[in-house]
Amino acid sequence: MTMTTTTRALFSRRWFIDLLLILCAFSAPWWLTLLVASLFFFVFDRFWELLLLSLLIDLLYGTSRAYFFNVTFVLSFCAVPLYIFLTLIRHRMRF
Amino acid sequence: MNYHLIRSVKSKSKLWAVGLPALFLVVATFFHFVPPFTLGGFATGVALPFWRAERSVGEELRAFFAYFSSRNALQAKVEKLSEELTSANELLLDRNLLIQENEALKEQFGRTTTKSERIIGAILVAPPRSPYDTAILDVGAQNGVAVGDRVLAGSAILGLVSKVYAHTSQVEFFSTAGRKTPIGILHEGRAIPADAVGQGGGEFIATLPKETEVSVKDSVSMPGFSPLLFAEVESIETTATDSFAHVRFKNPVPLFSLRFLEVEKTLAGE
Repeated sequence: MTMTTTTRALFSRRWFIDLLLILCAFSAPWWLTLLVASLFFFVFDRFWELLLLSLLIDLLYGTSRAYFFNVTFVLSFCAVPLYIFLTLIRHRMRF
Repeated sequence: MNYHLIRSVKSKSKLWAVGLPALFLVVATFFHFVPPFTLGGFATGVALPFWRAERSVGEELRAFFAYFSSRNALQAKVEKLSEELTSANELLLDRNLLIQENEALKEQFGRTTTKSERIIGAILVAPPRSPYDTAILDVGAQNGVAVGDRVLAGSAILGLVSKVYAHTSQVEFFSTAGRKTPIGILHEGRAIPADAVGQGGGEFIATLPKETEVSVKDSVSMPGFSPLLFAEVESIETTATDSFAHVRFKNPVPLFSLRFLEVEKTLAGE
């Protein structure tokens, strides 16, 4: 079954994807949200929403971690190397 | 002849790749030092209607699918639960007597009993959705919840309130990975002190000298004048060459299946 033109147009809109990802952060496991955001990294240019989503997850559920120097934003700090890594991969891909 | 590029595409993309994460790191560090309660409160306020809707839809769906359960399966379940209830009631027969005896003994030693009030909160978000073994309850400052209040499920203590907003509060479970909690392992009338290190998902590990007498099924409690049930020993791991025994224990109630939690507010000091 193929996607309808309207659905395809909707999924190509960045704001719509952002909205879906925010809802995903509210109601899906954190790893699923970051996985989906990482996939969209290859669809849209400079998908900085990945960083903002990790910050949102930290704001919602974050707590200071004794083994991480009592830092609350562990996921946000981990999202930074992920962002750089995905950017490097994207630059080496052609599609 | 040299041709100058109008703009350097490569350097701009490098700037995005490094500059944006660097800026983000600065923002995240800023929020770490400035307690992000305002921003966290705003984010939780936006998420709250979704969590409430999700919970009510979940309840409705559960009720809907229960409608399709087979009659035989339901009957078997009722019989099993009735048997469990009977055996639980038998075990609880002397509970009130023991509580009264305990209170009388405390009074004899000049210690007043702690009066506390419990607020029941529905769990809006529970592990494994959150990455930090935390849960969000639908009771907050407006219901009298405060940071540091104890969170229980029946007689088992599970964690502490770590953040409080107007309508919601965040619970940090003791099993949060890396968190150390002082506990006592009850074995043959003695409480063996140890530090429980959280492993996530309601599991803990404590390291004790190999010679320490501990058995599987021993109760683990929080130290204090009114000890609360913390966990139950699941396994003890050691090797012939190891000087220590690694005691693994689990919360008596599975965190993933909980739907409600109780927040205990202490009204009078011990």
